[in-house]
Amino acid sequence: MAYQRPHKAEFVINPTLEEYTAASLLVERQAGALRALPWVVVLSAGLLFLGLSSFGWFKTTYTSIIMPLMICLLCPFFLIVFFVILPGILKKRAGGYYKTYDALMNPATLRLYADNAITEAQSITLTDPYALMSGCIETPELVVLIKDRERMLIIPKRCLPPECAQEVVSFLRTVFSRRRRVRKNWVF
Amino acid sequence: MEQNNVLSLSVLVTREEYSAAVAISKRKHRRKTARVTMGFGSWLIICGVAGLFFGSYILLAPPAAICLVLAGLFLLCYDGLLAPIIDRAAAAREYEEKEDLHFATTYYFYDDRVAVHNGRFQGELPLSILTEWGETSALFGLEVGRELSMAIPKRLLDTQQEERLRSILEAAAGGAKIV
Repeated sequence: MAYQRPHKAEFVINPTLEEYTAASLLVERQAGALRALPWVVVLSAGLLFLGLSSFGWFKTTYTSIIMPLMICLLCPFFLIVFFVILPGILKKRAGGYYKTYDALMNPATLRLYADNAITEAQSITLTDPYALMSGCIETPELVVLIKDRERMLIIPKRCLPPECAQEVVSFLRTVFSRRRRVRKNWVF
Repeated sequence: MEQNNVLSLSVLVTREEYSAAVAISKRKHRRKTARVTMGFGSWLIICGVAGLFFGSYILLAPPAAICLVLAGLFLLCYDGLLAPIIDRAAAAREYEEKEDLHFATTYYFYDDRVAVHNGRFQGELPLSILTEWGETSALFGLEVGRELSMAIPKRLLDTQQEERLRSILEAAAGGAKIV
């Protein structure tokens, strides 16, 4: 029988729809469609500046303000797309994925070992080595371990046993020290 | 191998098979928006050509008309030419990221469930939980939300096994098939 080191912690995780959606947005912000958010803000500001500046380059006739006006309007357009429309689409998609997650993985027992995390649900067992995970995002409510572009391990901090919550969080911070991002939410 | 109505397979997908299958699957998903894109591209080309010949009447300068034509050509060719190339490249990157695709997986297909065993995932799933599945000329692709992707190359199946797998999937998860 192979020797297995005892696990560092064991607890039950049961992310809610809100937590799953929040985690999905965090992952998209880190490595997905929302990754370019800072550049979108810079681009929008640049377009607004360009549009406002170009108002004075043309004669102030009706037809000559169309192009500067269109450039100015691109600023709110990009902001609305990346801060409202795209996150809305991603939230809706996450809501659909949550139904499958809930049926398959909720609730599950998570055991954290030195080198991997084992998630045991009703009919499946997942073994995820930390070395193969691309990163970790920590917010005040969640710790999200990113397995790949689509899969993640969501650990709501409310699920951590009070007696070892700080120890678990410190362990994960150490494991993912170079691959960890701290965020308040998916925007900041 | 079949024993007692169980279809058991040991599978390892190559990057080329995975990339080709994902590109075809994404094209199927894009079918609805592809018509809109192509229609909009055609409209841009018409506007651009009109601008080249009648630009003075509709206040459209030749350079702007040429830009409209080029934009229209891009949209017209996107789905058929550009998107498959982009999708294959994205799928190849995805294959590199998904470590579990690099390891052999054993599947046991029953009439209503599938048992999956590899280094990462062990367990049994009801086939009714499949969120989508489809087949290309090269493989069967099955998805369980974001939690599990299964790809079964047809080179590992004889005709009888292929038909059996198809009938199992259609009976248990017919609603999830990507047509």
